Amino acid sequence: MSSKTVLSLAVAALMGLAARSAAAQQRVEARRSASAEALVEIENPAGSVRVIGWDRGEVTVTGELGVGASGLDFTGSGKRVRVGVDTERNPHGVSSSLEIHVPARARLQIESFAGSITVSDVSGTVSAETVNGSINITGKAHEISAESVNGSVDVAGASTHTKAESVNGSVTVQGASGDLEASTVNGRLEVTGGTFEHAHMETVSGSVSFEGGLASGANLEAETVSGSVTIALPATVAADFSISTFSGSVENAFGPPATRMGAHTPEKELEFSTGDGGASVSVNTLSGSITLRKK
Amino acid sequence: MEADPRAQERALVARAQAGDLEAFEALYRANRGRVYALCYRMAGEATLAEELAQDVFVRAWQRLGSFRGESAFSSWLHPLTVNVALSERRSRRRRTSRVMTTDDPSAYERPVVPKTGPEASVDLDRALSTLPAGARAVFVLHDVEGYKHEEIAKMTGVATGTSKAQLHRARRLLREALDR
Amino acid sequence: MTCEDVLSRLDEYVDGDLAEAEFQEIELHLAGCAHCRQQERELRALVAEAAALPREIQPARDLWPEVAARLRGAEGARGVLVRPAVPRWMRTTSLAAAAAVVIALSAALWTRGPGPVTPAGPRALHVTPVAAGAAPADLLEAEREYAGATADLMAALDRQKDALTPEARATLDANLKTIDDALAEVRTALRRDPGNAQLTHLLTSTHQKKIGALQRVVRLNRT
Repeated sequence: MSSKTVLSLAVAALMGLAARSAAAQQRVEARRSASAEALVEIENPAGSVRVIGWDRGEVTVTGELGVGASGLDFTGSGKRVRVGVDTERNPHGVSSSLEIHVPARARLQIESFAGSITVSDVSGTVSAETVNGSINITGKAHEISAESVNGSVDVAGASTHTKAESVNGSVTVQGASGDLEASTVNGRLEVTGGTFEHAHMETVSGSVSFEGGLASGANLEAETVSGSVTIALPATVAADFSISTFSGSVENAFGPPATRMGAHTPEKELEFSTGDGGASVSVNTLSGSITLRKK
Repeated sequence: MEADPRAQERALVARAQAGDLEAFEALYRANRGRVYALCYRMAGEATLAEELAQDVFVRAWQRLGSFRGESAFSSWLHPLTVNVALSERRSRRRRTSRVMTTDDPSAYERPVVPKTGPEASVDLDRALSTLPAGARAVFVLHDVEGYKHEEIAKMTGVATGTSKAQLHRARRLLREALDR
Repeated sequence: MTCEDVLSRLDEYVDGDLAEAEFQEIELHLAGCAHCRQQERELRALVAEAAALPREIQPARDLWPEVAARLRGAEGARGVLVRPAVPRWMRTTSLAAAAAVVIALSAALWTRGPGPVTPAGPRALHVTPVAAGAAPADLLEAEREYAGATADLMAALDRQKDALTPEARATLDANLKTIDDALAEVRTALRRDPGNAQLTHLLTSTHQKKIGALQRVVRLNRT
């Protein structure tokens, strides 16, 4: 082979490599100004989204777009900013990793399909949804809604309105208070937090574990089919308890044992009050065991 | 213009579920007579009955989300009322027993007399309040409210046989008290 | 049968709680015994009087101010309404606080862009939630509606422009199977104890989880 041919082959190879790199990823870096409480909508069909709150009036996007992406879709400014990934083919195959800084008090709406979502240091509101991916939210957002189908959902903040749901994945909520809706089908559901006005927890086969307090007149509901339920409340809680299970066992540290509904059924029911009552605790399972214990 | 009372009620409930206190007040006014009657008969005296009735409506407000409108609101309130009245019995056992025997002449003197009904029923309501709490509860649930023994057993956590025995006792005591 | 026997069973006789044979025996005794007949008359009079008691009794004073105060949390004077069971901001179709659950497949679920527009359009399903203690027929009807909603959603998924990858589809199917297995368990328990309020509620909320998950998949899958 002549040296010229080698050279052109080498160049061709390099160009080929470069072309493949260009196809493999596009680095992106862009910024737009945004108001302090801007609505920031983010959509990344696959890959990962990392959102970090900061004290600048700006939304910046850095990261790498995946193969098949035709560009970053970054529009808006001021009160409303949108970040998305344009694709020329089935978006599920386009895996991009995006890191986005937003004003700390922004209102976030994040959607993905096959991507994970992480949010930190945002004190506005966060709504994050994905199908195949985990969600991890930390920071002081007061309203959080995190929903996945195949992925764990972890919320560790100080939210007063929280919704955390998955289907095939664990759900953990820490530091929440006020209103809570948490559910999963298969994974375990764990809530530790402050004082709740309303806490509703549901699984099908995952275990439910709750440790927290109840405001006066609050209500706590936990329901599973076969998952076990453990509720830990302060020893001084004043609540009306309504517990039932079709075939599970019941352990109650607050007083009376459950009574069988009849000789011919395993069904057990337990109704009692502690203190002067007021708050209400209701637990219902098909076969999951129920444990009430003192914090 | 909603002419159908059930539709009107559903509209009120929907508003109350959304947090409208005025709508809930309308539901309270429409249903408090029924609720209070049950509380009064179960409690055996007015002050406690008033507290229970309040508890019922507070609990109803908290549980409003679970009312789906498939029955009348009063039908949904009814088991809730029974529940509150029965729970109250369980949790206040430590207080001084209000059990009066028929030997006690003051048993017939009560500060508040039910406002409706003929002479005979005033006597019966009065006599009811003299019964021991357990017997009274079963009598009210079975003979006044129409529940079956199986249902009463489930609600009060006793055996069906016990429910029947309590009813027998209640009826006997009432007949003695009313001198019939 | 002695008078003592009869009198001890008089309550059950009057309430109609006796087996045929015993019932007949007591009837026979009563026919020939004035004393026991008198007792029966008095008992029936008492029971009738109880059943005729006024259905309503008005309390001596208006209780509403105190009820309202409690609902407003006046104890701590927070001025914040104690909310009904489902907080308004969280009320989604899958939480169904209203009188009827409407499972609406919104237009957003259907394919946008090139391709045939689905002729059927969104189907708003009116699923009457099964009342606590509902008769089996109502339950069956509700289950049929849920099955219909599931089928519609699965069909929407199949029709979408960007089909799920085989792995994604397999994972979804596995998730749905877990829910279906749980539904089967609850149904079995319900057959043994029909009308059980807790079980009925478990059944409908498990269905709603399934619908909710499918809705989310379909919605997030649109481009």
